[in-house]
Order: sequence, then structure tokens, then C-alpha cells
Amino acid sequence: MSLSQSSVMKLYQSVIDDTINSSREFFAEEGIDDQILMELRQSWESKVMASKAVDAPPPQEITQLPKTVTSTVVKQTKSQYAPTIVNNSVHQLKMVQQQKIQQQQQQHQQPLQPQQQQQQLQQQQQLPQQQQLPQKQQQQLQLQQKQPQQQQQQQNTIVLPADYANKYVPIQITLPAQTGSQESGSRVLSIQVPSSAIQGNMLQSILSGPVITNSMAMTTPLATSFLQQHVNSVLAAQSISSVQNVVQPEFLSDVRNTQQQQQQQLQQNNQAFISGNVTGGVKRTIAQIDGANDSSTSDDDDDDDDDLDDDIGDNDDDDDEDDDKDQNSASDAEPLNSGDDVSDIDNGELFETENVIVCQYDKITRSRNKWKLYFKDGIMSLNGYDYVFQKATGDAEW
Amino acid sequence: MSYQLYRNTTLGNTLQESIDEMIQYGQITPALGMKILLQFDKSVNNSLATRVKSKITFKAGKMDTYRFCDNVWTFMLSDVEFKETQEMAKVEKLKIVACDGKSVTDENSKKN
Repeated sequence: MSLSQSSVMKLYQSVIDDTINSSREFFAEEGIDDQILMELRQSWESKVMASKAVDAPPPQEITQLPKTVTSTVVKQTKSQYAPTIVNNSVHQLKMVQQQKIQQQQQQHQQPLQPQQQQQQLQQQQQLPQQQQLPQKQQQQLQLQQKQPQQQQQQQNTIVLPADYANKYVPIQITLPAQTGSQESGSRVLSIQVPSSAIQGNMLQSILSGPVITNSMAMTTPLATSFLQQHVNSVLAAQSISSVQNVVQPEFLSDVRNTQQQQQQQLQQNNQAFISGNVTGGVKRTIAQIDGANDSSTSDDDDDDDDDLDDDIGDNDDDDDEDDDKDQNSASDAEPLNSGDDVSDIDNGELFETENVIVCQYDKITRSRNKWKLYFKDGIMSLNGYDYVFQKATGDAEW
Repeated sequence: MSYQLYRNTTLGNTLQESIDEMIQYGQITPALGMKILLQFDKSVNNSLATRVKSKITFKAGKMDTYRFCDNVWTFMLSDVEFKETQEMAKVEKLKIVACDGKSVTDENSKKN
């Protein structure tokens, strides 16, 4: 094995060690637990290993091959391995995102199921104490149990680029101990949200102040179902789950019915703060969405929200239209330098490859069309495998 | 100053993915994520300068494009063969992005 290849893992390990150890003081400054730093290290290391870029390249790639075979090898590595260098290629970016989502799901799915069983036990014990809401809780539990199953079904099917945004992924929420309870220490809740909500950073606005404050006063299972229901209802109002509806109509209509009943019950029980919060959340988040998606069947509860939304939505639509007009007029007004733009695009396509060296140059010389390139401190990704060098010297003819 | 161009490698991209995830889960703040990335820049620049000893040569069948902009060279080469002591790898297309090696060397010599 060549030194440039065998040095890769050593270099990476030393960079990981150094980066993590030197970041410890930043974590201390912000008062964040060391455990989080260790999690970062673990996540980083596992991603590096999963990329296969640090594996030893198979010998047939090193030996001389007829050109046609080389090209198929290149194609295989493209589809088989994670892209090691982010080019401008949209395709590669999508692959990265998909992998991310899948990894997240795999990481969180297994620990989640025992937790849910635990919740079920807790819930059964608490039922006599909380007879106001037993029915709702059971329904909520059914809902939660269906979602992981749903996830697994979706995972078995082929993942399409457009599909990943509709997947439900678990997220964890940490709450302080229940107000007035004797338990101490924080509680960790887990709820399911579409990954599109995470990507869009919508959760922060949905799970904002008053909702969290109210859930802090509830028992853990109740708070879980309350937050889950809140997120579901807000997202449903945004017609995001209507996209999900297209994928699995039967499943979702079930969920919708359950949601409806839950919402009604919850509203009866907690009318004072729920109604305020739900509409508040909708108001804030609806502004991020262009025009409503009409494909979903609207139910009674949603209609109320929709009426509120319409006023705000109209404003947004107007803004968007104005923007569009501006853009159109701008592009119409500038036909002059369009030739430059075209050549830029061509260059962009020309500069896309999975084989990339990032390095520093010592000297670049040229005599007529013969170039000599002197580089140092480089990291290379060739055919999906990483190499490093201290010095690299190259010849090329233009 | 350390170059940020090594973020665009397996090691840099995976770190950025991990940081992004932790920000999304609310475990760290974006500001802290940025500090970690800047620390990564320092670490990778240092480690490359001090820990790597391999020397390689390569020969390109053709240079398709060269570009020098803001002190950064970018080359696009075709049919490139890499050698260390023996044949190492062969690629049809190769992109090289290179920053000026002098400014960092100056800084290192000051440190030393």
C-alpha cells in the first residue's frame, strides 16, 4: 500500500483528535456538557468510516486497465459510495441528504420503540389518576405506534429524491421536571415530525414559548401527546401532511380522524390556552409557505384556521407576485451580457468531477503549452478513495 | 489564518454534516458550530504540514482548463496517472483547487 493512501487514516484521526480536543474549551464556555462533544466525535467518525473513502482501494483499480473498464469502475464507485467531495452537482447533494435522513432514522428508530412501550406502561398506571383524558391518550398512542411502522414500510421502498421530505423522523425534546411533581431532573420526550419540517427549520416556530410552557405542567406521556398533536395540527393546517396523504391515503385518513377527535377533546379540556397557541403557531409559520395546497380535504377545525390564514396568506401571495414581476422585468431588461452568462454555465459543467485535489501551490510554471505544477499539503479523492500528499509534482499539456 | 478549502473533503464534509445535525437537534448553537469548523481549519492545515510525508507525481494527458483568480489556481485535467513509488491511480477527469502555499508557510515559520 502506498504511503499517500496509508497516511490518510492517520491524518484524519489526528485532525479529529485535535479538532475535538481543541473545541472542548468552546463547549465549556457555552456551558455545554462534554457528552455532546463526544457525540459529535462519534457522529463524525462514523460518517468518515461510512464514506468508504478511507478503505484501501481494490488492487484492480491500481493496475492498468483498458479504458472501457476503467470508466465502468468509475461509475460503480459513483453509485456505491458516498460522494466524498461536494461538487456543485445537485445530484450528489441530494444523495448526501438522503443518506443523512436514512442515518438519522436508523439511529433513532431502535431506541425509540422500547421508549414507547415504556410510555404505554406509564400511561396505564396513570390512567386512574387522569380520567379526564384516557380516550385521547389511547388514540395518541395508536398514532405514535403507527408512525414507526410507516417509516419502516417507506424505508423498504426505493427512496426517491422528492420523497425524503415526507418521511417522519423522531425528534427529541427535553423538558424540565413536571411542575409541582416530586420528580427531579429533566424529561426527554420523543415525537414524530415530517423531515421536511426539520429541513425548513419550522419546528422552532411551531414549538415556541407558550406551547412548551404548557407542556411543562403535564405528565410526560401527556406532554408527549400534546406536543405531537400540536405539531401535527399545525403542519396539517399548512397542508404539508397532505403531501403525505398522496403517498399513503388510508393511513393518513386514519391519522386525520384521530387528530380531529384529539383536537376537539383537547380543546374542550384546555380550551383557554390551546386555541390561543394553535392559531398563534399557524400565524407565525404560515408565512413561510407559498400559497395553500388545496388537495387536502378540509375538516371543520381546519376551516377555522384557514379563515384566519387567508388574510395573512393573501398578503404573502401579493408579495410573491410582486417579486416575480420584478424578476421578470429585470431579466427582460438585461439581454445585453447574456453571452457571458452562458459561458459561465458551461465552465460550471466542465468543472464537475468526483476526482478532486484540494491543496496549496508552491510553483506553477508554463513554457508554451507545457505546464509544470508543484503542489503541497494536498488531500485527494480519486475514484472514491482518499489520498494525501506532502508534495505533488505534475506535468500537463494545454 | 488557515485555509478553509479543506472543508471540501471527506473529513470536512462529514464534520459539517454532523454539526448541522446537532444544530438541528438543538444540541449546539450555530455559533458554536462555526467555532468548531474554524478549529477544524487550523487542525487540518497543521496536521497536513507536519504529519504527511508522501510525495507523488502525476502526468495529465491534457489540461482542459486553467484559471487563476483571487490567488487560487483551478485546473481541470484529463487522463491523469498518479505515481508514488509505483502506479497508484488513474482518473479520466481531475479537478485541482490550490491556494497559495506561501502565505501559510510564512505563518508557520513565524510560529516556529
